[in-house]
Amino acid sequence: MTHDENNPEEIRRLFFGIEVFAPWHQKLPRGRLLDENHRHLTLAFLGEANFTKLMQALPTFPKPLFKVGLVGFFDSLLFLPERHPHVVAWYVEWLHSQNVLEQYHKEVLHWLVNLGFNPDIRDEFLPHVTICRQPFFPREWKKAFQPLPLIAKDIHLYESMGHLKYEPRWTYSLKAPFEEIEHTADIAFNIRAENLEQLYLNAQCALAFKFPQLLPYLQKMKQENLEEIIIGLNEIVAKADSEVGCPFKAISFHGELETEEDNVLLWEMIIDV
Amino acid sequence: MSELKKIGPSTYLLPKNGGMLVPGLVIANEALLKEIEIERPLDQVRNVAYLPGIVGYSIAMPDIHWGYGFPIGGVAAMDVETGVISPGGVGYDINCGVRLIVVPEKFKDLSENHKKKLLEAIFHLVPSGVGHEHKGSKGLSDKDYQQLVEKGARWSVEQGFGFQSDLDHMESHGVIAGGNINAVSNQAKERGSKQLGSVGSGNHFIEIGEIQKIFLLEIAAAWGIEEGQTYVLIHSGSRGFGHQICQDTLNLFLKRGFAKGLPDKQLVAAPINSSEGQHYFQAMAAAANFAFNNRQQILHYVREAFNKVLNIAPEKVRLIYDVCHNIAKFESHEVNGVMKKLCVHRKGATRAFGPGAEELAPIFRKTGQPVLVPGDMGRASHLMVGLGNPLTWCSACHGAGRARSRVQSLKAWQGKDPIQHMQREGVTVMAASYKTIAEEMPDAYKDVDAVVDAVEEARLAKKVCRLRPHLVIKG
Repeated sequence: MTHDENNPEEIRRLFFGIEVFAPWHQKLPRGRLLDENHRHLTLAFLGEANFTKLMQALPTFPKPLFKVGLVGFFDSLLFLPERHPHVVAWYVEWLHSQNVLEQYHKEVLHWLVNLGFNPDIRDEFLPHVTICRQPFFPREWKKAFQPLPLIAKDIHLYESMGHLKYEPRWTYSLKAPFEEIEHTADIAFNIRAENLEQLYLNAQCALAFKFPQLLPYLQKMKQENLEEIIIGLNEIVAKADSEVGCPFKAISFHGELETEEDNVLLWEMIIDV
Repeated sequence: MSELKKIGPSTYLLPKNGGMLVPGLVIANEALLKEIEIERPLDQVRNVAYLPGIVGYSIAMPDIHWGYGFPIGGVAAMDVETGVISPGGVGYDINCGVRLIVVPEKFKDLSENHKKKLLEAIFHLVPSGVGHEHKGSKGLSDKDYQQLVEKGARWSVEQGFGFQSDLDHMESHGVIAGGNINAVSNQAKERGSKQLGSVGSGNHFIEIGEIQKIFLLEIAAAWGIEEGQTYVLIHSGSRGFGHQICQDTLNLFLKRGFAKGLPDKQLVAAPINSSEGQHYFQAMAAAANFAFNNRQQILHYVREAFNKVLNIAPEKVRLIYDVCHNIAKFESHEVNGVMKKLCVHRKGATRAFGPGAEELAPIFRKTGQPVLVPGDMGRASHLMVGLGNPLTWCSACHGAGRARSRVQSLKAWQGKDPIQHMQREGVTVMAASYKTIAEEMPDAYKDVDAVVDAVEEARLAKKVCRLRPHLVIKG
């Protein structure tokens, strides 16, 4: 396939972003809301760019160092840009790998520049997810904001379709940090991570997906083995239950830590409810 | 399932293999065995049979499903001299249980307005849902805790919650001897401090309905139960207090290496006669006594609601019986022709003493013990009478048992209105959370009629009457 800068069909509005999953609130304040399926975290914004040229270059797209998707939470509200805001966004605080994503963002920009593209380069990488566009009422949004956990998993080359629609044109998938699995009586998740510290945090994030009120209780702590992780998780559940009430009874001392082919750790977490 | 050998009506043997010290025994009929996901729970039945000191069988009731170490619907008895006590054999919600109350009014005679007001009054008086507790309560003092864990439900009666006569209508008269507050952590005390008299979340509930059909007229009459009568069923346990005790004990037992050699860490168990085993029993009994008090105080508020809405005197709202279905108890049973003291673990199983059992109050000593089997909130619950079958250490089932996971149930009801659906089925539901209702819809459970039929066929208990729910409060 050849590419032609003058062929308008090849020029599209493009960006790289990470698809974001969260237990979204079903009721949000007024505004032009982005559909849940289109919410993302922008990694590198290209604007109008040659689609064919980019597609041809994708085999050399820099692979991230992390194999498992990232977990974090929306911890504050942003109105962007600061002076004359036209979007409402939620700022992302990562539970781990904060610098890793920033580093990766730089790598992607560097790759694009080397290819001759002209991505939007800013002084600071601001991890955020746009939720709504003008018109909106800042006071309503400020009042309604509540922290929510999130997963950032699939890296997409998105095309902006207009009207707040973004279609993935290419995808690089990371492993899910957790996914809910069927269990007859209780709640169960497969938790994946690259090390024990991440496993502990990813498991906490899975719990917070079911019960976001658990977010203030999340803790980073070095754990030596699965047993310590389970004890730590149970302490979090117990503390939350005594202070605000918690739908989980306990995390079961179930399962062994498995290692998948690519050295990713896997644990089946069962939550007694 | 192919391993199961039928040895009697609705009774199957799971042969001993590997490190099993005793065979397994599964109470179920063919239809139930086809319907339920049996392999994982059967693995748990096998695992339980590895526990030191187990006698007889590792037993599964027809409402069996996968649990924490032990299956839910599991029974195991350990020789007190050589055996172990396992927190996983009791469960997190220590002395989760059910109590049945009857009201001297035919349900059909209650006006729609009265039903609505009753439901609202109980919903208002009895906190339900995640973490809900009595607002404004000053909480339990150290002295309160000390007394209630020693006295059991009698403590609440002394505080004005109910009547002395209620105590004869409770398993073990509402007290497990040996409760010791010094065996309980501060965190457990904090969690339970304001939770007495609250339902909690998950599958806990209060339901009101009518005695739909009587199977054993003589026994129903002896217990003062008539067809069409209004009943109340209360299902709750030891709330955060019991959960924390279970957690504290698991952590301790694992640290001490008591899981060594067991096929599943969650079966972790200490010798009954060890200091750790004794410590757990004292804490477990404390939680069990907390749970008796919890249900006694809920009953008090239910009586208050009937008094307020229908002007029925509290003493006329009669407690029929209160059973524990998550407990370990010391009982004497015959083993190979010799009476032995055993520690009987019932996790999601109910004691079902038959006529003549000494522990029962006179009224029940004549008939056998009431066995309460709550089903789902749409179809039915059952009241049975124990037959004291030694094969299961005088135990029967505890409910319908889940057939569908919470996730599946939630998905199945996504975009639909479960409250409206239940209303069309003749059941009004109130809950602190919509999600709970969707997770607890009737189709998430096995058919309780089939479960109690299997229990009756296996001669563990007999059906006394079928209860039909109409008003339900879910956690």
